[in-house]
Amino acid sequence: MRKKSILTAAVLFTLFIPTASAQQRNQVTLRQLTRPAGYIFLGRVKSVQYLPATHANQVATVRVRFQVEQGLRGVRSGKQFTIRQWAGLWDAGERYRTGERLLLFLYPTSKLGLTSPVAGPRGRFALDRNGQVLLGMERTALLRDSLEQERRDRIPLVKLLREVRNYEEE
Amino acid sequence: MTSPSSLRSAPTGIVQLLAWALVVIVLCPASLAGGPKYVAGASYFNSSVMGVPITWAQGLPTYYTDQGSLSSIMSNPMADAYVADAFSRWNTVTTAALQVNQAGHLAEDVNGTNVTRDAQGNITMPADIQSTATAKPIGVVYDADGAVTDALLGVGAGSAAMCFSNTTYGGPDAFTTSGNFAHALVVINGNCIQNSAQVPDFQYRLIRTLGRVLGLGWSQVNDNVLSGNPPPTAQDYAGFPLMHTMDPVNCVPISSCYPNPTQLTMDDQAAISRLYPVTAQNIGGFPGKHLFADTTGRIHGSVWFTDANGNPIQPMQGVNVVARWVDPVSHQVTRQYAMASVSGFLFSGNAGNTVTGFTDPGGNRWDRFGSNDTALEGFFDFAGLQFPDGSDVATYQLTVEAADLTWSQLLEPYGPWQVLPSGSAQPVLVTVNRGGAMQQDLLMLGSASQERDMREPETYTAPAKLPGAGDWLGTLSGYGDADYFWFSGRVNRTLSVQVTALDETGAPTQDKGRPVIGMWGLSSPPGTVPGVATPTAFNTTTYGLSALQGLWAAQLQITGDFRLGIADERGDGRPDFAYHARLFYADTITPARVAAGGGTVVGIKGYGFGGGTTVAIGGTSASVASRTANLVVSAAPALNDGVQDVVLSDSTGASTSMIGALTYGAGPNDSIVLLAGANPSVAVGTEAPNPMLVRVVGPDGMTPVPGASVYFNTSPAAALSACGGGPNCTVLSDEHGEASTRIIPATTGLITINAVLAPASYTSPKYVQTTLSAQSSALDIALAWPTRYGAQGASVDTVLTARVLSYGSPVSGKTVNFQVMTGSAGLSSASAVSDNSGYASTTVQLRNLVGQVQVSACIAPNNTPCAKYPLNVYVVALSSLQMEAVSGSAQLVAVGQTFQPVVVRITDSASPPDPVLGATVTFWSIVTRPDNDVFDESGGERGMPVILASAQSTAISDVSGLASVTPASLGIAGPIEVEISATAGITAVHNFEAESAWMPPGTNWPGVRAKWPVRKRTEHLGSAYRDLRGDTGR
Repeated sequence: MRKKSILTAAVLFTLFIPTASAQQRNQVTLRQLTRPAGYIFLGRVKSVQYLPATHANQVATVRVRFQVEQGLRGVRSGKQFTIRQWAGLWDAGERYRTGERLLLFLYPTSKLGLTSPVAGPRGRFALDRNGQVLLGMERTALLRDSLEQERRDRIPLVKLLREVRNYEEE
Repeated sequence: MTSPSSLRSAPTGIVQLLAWALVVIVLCPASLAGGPKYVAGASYFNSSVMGVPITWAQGLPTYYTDQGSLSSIMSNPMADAYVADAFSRWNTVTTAALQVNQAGHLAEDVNGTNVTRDAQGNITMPADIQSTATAKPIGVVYDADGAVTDALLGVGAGSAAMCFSNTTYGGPDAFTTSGNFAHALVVINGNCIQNSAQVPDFQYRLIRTLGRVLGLGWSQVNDNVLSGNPPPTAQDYAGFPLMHTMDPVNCVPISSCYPNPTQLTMDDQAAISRLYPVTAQNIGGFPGKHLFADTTGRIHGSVWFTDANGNPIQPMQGVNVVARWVDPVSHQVTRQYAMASVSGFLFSGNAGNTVTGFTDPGGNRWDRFGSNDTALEGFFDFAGLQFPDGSDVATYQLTVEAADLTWSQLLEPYGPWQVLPSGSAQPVLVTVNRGGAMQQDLLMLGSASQERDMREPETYTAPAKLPGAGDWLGTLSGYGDADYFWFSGRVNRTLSVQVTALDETGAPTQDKGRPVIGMWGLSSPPGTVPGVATPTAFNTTTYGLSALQGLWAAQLQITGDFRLGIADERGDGRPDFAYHARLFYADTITPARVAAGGGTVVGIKGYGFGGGTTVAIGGTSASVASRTANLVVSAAPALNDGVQDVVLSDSTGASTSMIGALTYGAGPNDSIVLLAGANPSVAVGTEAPNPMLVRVVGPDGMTPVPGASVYFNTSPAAALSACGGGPNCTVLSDEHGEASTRIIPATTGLITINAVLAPASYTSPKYVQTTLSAQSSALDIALAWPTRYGAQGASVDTVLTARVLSYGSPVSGKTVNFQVMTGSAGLSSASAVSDNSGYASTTVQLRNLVGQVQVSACIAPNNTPCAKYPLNVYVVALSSLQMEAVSGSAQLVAVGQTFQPVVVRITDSASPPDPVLGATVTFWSIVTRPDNDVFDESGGERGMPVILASAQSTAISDVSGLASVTPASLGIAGPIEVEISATAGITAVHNFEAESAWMPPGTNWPGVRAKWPVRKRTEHLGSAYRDLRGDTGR
């Protein structure tokens, strides 16, 4: 009975929905990928190592080593960079493969020493045959407030990096 | 293209349609469709469940929620209610035998204080949310302040700005071997539920996350809702499944894109029912629900590749098959009542392969998910079809489509590596009765039909021989097919292997096969990890290209046979998995040693060369004269002595190196030996009777090393003939490894003459030295080159020069008398007056030389003093004549350029050999078309050539034993090859080859190139000696 009343209250609660525009600030944009990122770089996956939990309370993680081609924030070009990711993301399908070349926006490392792409898969970009960053239609809106190219599904790496640098200087 | 407006708002009237649809859904029994996220595979799980979707046992999992609040506006009880509501969306599907209930709370409030890292760096969380906590199968964490999310995903991940991606996350993290989920974790970020406006989005995302927790895969139905192509209608929205793969980032709030985002469609209901079907056996545990099979219809079948006759040849996986109800009244195909099934959804989407392995970084086999029963490879299943009009018969239209690479990239079972379908299938209408089942296969007409490569077998244990050009087409056809080839290689070589995935049109693609490449020693048994392998497919920046190159270039560690393997990264194999492969490998370079300073024509043999192949030696670009798939002809650039790497590359990124394969001049282990150089004391300003002669030899101490740098120098300064009268210079050893110089001391005393081997290349160069004692008096006279050798029977004139000096200074105006003391010879003049340099000359006329000739030189009038060493000409029998090639071997020039002379030296058989004067050398020349093997010392492999012209000429060897001829085209236009055979005496023979060729456009061919440099013939000092070249035959 109590559960039902709570649910009723909850449903009523949801009826007070504000206008869409008031919430659109929560959309993911390139700016919103850039600002919270602790690490931004173009790199290639050198190795992936699964670190299993060894006792009951311990958390499994995945260690990923990158060769950084271009470091924009937090890492230096030409260096190797290693992250640890919560294995739960690995189980959920957010995986790296040795040899992959990616442009990554990663959160700053947490107190646990873990990080992951900003906004999940949206903070992780593959590159096409011409070195252009693949956005996919799903992410074209990332650029809508900066590059005015929301109809395009890819962008030259140089252009995207330039935009990222612009945000860095803001 | 997507229209943002089309994503934000539903058309007017859709609400009414949805309401009607809701009524239908409630009234009609739900059914089974869509795909599972996980299917038990060939490993880890019991074999009895292989091919069975993984579910919660009996459909009765329990969950445990956090003890804390979810957010400032959502207390713990309220949060529990929302979680219960979200689960209920799945629980209430009437044909799904599913009842997920809350069994209690976790033992704690999970927050930032108990998700920590200890001093040892171990990351810990409460035990009852770990994957091992199977007593609490589903743990739900209320991350009230985002601290848990921040800790797990990174700082900022739990902030309100990240709600689009991080409102809810998690999923199953443990499985039983009997094919069930053992545990799952869900985290809800309280920062995303800070006001009532955010609740609908939270609900939407939670229902989807729980759908994944229950085992649902993604679904693709009416993707035009996302793409906008074609613009979506109300029916499209109504049939758009909740379990679609992803949302556009501008869908905030989610209702701006979908009018009723949390509504389960027919596809969603069928999908959950398929995982948890209500059956006669379990219906007792689910009161009020309906038998799944009895209340719905089913159409199933397989998608097939077809051959040219339209016959099925192999099942086709990864095709999104869509079933749409045909309205019996309007006869229109509806989009509201639609469901999808991806062909091969029960089959493995990634089983691993022999190249990159069969396990993931966690050590789990890839094939633990998805069956390996090829009967399921193209299988689709529309169990759960509804009867929207309430009748017991329905007609559905089946169509096929590709997975949308933008919006459905993660669609199982191929996700994230989708494969585009091959061919097409016409829409098919199938009528099915309630409770009935129909089989309907779909034949993809016009599909790829390559069942096997012509070269098969190409198996690991029976690899095919590598195609001769190193460039070939192939197909990974037949599930699990991998192609293997063998070839021979050498140690200290690197190579590239490129494999481009091709589609049916032959264009590069990344949406068909995912080729990975590995190499093994040919003797490596099956199961051996490759010595080198691409880490993943498409590991280059070139579209469709996988390659062992760059970071992954292969370096051969032994000389032997190697195996090259090409496999699909998923372990798949289909008729449309075509590829274009190339081995780019430089095997040998001929010759392996060239002259320091470059210019030598070299031939590089190997595989996979092309029009864009470039050559660099020692890091310096080399001109290329011609290229075929197996041969590049190039000119060695100018470099110092030493061992150099040869690198071939092209614009595709392919590169092959021959490490230390080419030696310029002297190598590090070569030596220099002194053959001659001892001299008696001589007068200052006069030439020592014997030259200093050195030979550069290989590490065995015997093999002559041509083209090596020899640095002659003197102390104190003396004039050296090799240096044009200077005190030091560098010369190159000739084809016999020899270098020599004559010496004129400039001062009295002991002079040291050094011959240093390649001092510019080595810090402690090897050297030899000799000494010469010089003195002077009031009047001195000496002859140049006093000891000479003449061919038996020779009739030749040879110049004899004396020099007159006083305390080292030339004396002019002195008369020198010449006299034949021994043997038969004439003199052009019996006396001569010394010039300003002190020189006085005559010509010795040798005729039919049969015995030793001696000529004295004395200063008139009293014939005193006389030259201490008179001219002695010794006779060399024709049977003792030897011939050395000096220069002009292996020339290659551009058409129209002039060849260098071919030069030989005639010697006796002494050791060291002496040059022979007056030998008749016959040069036979033939002209043919070139066979591009000028670098090949073995003469190449060409058959009998067509002789276009021929000629014969003779020359008489001079005092240095040299004779020469210049190769000529003999009137033949265009590219030619001139083969010259030089003979002298009875047995002395040497062959030369010179070619001209059309150079590739843009080639900067460095003029005439020859194997070895022409050795200077002016081994004589002083202006008077220059006319020694005037030796003439008679």
